[in-house]
Amino acid sequence: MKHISDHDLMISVKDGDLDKLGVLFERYHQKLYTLFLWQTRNAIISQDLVQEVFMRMLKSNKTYRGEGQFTTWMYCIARSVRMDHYRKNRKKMTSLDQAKEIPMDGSDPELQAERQSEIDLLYRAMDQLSDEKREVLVLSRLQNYKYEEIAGILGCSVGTIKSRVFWAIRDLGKIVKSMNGICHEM
Amino acid sequence: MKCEFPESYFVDCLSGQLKGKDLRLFKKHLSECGRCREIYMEMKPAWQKIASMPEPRPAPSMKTDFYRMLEKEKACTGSRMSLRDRLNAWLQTWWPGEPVVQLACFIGAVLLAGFFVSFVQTRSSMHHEMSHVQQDMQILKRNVSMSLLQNQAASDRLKGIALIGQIADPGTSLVEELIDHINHDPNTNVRLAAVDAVALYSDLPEIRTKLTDALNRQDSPSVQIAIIDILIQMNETRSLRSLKAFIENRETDPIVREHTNRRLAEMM
Repeated sequence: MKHISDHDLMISVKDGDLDKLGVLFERYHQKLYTLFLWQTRNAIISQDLVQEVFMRMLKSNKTYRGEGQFTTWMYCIARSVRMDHYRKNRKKMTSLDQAKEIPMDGSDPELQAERQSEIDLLYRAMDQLSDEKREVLVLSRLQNYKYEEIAGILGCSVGTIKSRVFWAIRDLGKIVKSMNGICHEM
Repeated sequence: MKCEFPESYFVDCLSGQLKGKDLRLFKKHLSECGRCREIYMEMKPAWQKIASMPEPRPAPSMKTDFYRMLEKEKACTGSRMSLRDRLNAWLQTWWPGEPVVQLACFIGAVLLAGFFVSFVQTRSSMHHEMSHVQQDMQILKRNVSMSLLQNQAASDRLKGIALIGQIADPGTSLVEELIDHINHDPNTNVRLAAVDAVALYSDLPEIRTKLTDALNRQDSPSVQIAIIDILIQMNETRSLRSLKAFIENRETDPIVREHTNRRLAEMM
């Protein structure tokens, strides 16, 4: 089947073919969900935010001009959705409440337990990072976007992105190291 | 950092984007600078671990909710669309996207329009010609019938009267001719045929008077009965008065009188 670009799909949506939004949803809902889950730590809220992103894409499709990359536009909406969510729920924000919904593979229970423990540790460490740092880590390390693309999404230079990634990883490394030390002491 | 290597070198080295001379220089620096090496070694496990994190899967309900929202939105958009938008959307589904096909469609449409115009013109012209032919036929029939009515042979005159029956609009002259034949033709069959032919134009106002006159001129009871039947069918007060006067006349044939009385009684 011929691959239709994100841009062409969004133009079709803009022209009234709303079914094409379904194709974009299939392509990006997973990535958006991962991003939101890392940011909110809540699966239900993350799902709602993904839904909200696609709803806003529908509502504001007339503003889509296709001048930049589609993903840049989409992540800008995602950021706006997340910011609105934070503003509305500032007092309710919690952390690490639903971070354990990650599928595990392998059948060895001991290995699984060890892996789960590592993941929990990483989640706790990530939770201590600022939103900005967590965001660049998710985009660069989990979603494998190029630094140029992330720069486009976040509206800053590639150098700034690399610097943020550096400090994010460095802080994360320190936090993990200190957490490991605490664990070993225990 | 006080070293000459910026932060991006650490990131590029970890992500495998640092290559060639830069990579060699950076690695050399790491082997020499304890502080940078410590930073790098601190970053490396975190860098690797985060990438090996399994991707979280959303609940299946997320898809269901999304498609429900999409269907709802489609329904709303459909009802919000103006007639023009809907027409545009409908045309878009028909209109081909490729310019070559568009050109072919355009040429096809032009040819079709040309054919249609030509067809309409031909049809209109044919219709006009047919109308002319029909008019000519009527004139011909009228002339032939007039000619036949003047003929000596009664059979020809009968043909002439039959021909008048086929003329859609015989005109006053032909009706006058028929009345003349009712009054003066020597042949009873011709007079009877003329009465039958005149009956076709009984809605003309002068026909009643002329038939009433003709009734008093007739000597043939059969022709009188034919005329009486037409006058009774007309059902006009003046006709009925004339008929009453006719039957009161002593010279009227008793059979005709009896027929007239019976018809009048039926009518009452």
